Amino acid sequence: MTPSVDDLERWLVEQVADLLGLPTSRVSVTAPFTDLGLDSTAAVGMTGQLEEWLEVEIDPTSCYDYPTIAALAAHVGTLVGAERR
Amino acid sequence: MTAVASSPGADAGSIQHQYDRGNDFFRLWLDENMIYSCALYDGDDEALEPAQVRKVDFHLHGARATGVDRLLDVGCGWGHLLRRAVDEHGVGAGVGLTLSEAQRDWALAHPHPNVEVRLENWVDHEPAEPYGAIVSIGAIEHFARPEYDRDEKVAAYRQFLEKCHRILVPGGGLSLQSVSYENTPRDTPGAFVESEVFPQSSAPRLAELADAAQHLFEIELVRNDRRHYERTCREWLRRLRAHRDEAEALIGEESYRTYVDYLRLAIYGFGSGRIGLLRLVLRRIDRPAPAS
Repeated sequence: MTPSVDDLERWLVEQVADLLGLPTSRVSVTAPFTDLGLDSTAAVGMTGQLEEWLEVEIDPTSCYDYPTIAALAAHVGTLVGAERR
Repeated sequence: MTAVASSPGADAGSIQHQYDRGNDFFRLWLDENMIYSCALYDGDDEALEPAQVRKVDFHLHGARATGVDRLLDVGCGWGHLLRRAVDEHGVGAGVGLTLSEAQRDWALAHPHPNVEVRLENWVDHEPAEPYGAIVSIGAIEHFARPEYDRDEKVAAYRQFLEKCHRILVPGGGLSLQSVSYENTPRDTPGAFVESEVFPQSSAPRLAELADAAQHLFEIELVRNDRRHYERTCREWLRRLRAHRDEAEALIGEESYRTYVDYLRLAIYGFGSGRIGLLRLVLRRIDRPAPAS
């Protein structure tokens, strides 16, 4: 089943929280990844895992062009044809 | 600078970690000439193969290698530049240095008259005669370790340039290509690549190379071709993915994923300008002024 944009946001929040050792409640979907403390290696790696999960190619520069969880989830949503619930 | 007194940079073990994955693995996703460094594209539609040949010719012209008796390639990879130098650029003899046994074995299996590939560190290389030109592509990244501070890095690059100066004929050319740290803190882009794919290696900044070259070489040309490396990595990734099953059979699923992650991170780094791709053409200063 195609995940919704909300599903993608939740997945990204959980990934970022896990990578940074933070509770999910502390992870803002509108803060830039760099402000969250996520370095580029981790951000690019995260989109790689997203690729594996969704079986779709995600450009490695997407976390630069879409530098927040909300923006990245919306962008990836367009790649997989997701709709916001 | 005791850290760089004898043999700076990555040791043979770590070089072999990177390049001895097996020639069959690299053949899946590199071009037919096995060139594992940034290409030089002309136009938006060009394929990887001619762009790699153009890169080789750029460095041979930069080093003014055409017609020289002897050419040295430090970090010669699978030896294509040397073969092309002899065949197409009138070079009398080409000598290549590598620390990778797989690359040396490849050269032994594909012998070429007047090309010699040696399993040898440049630190230990003492030629009987000077070279007319020197080229080094994608080797400088291995000359400094990640833990070096700026002074130690400059010292390592200077040790290399002093060696080149000593074994080059007067007025000889040196053409270099290296990944560089650009718009980034020193250690962020490299953490993954340094640990997983290029252990014991680190990239220079342009200013560090320029510092190291003072009173040894004048810098004739500097290019930052990071977009060319982004494009090269995109093509490598496309080819690697197209051969996923074969790659996993050769190196395992985990290592396949590591290479995919590495190429994706490189695309991000070059695309965003965190890292760059320097091509430097240097000319030997024959009468260096004393350092102040």
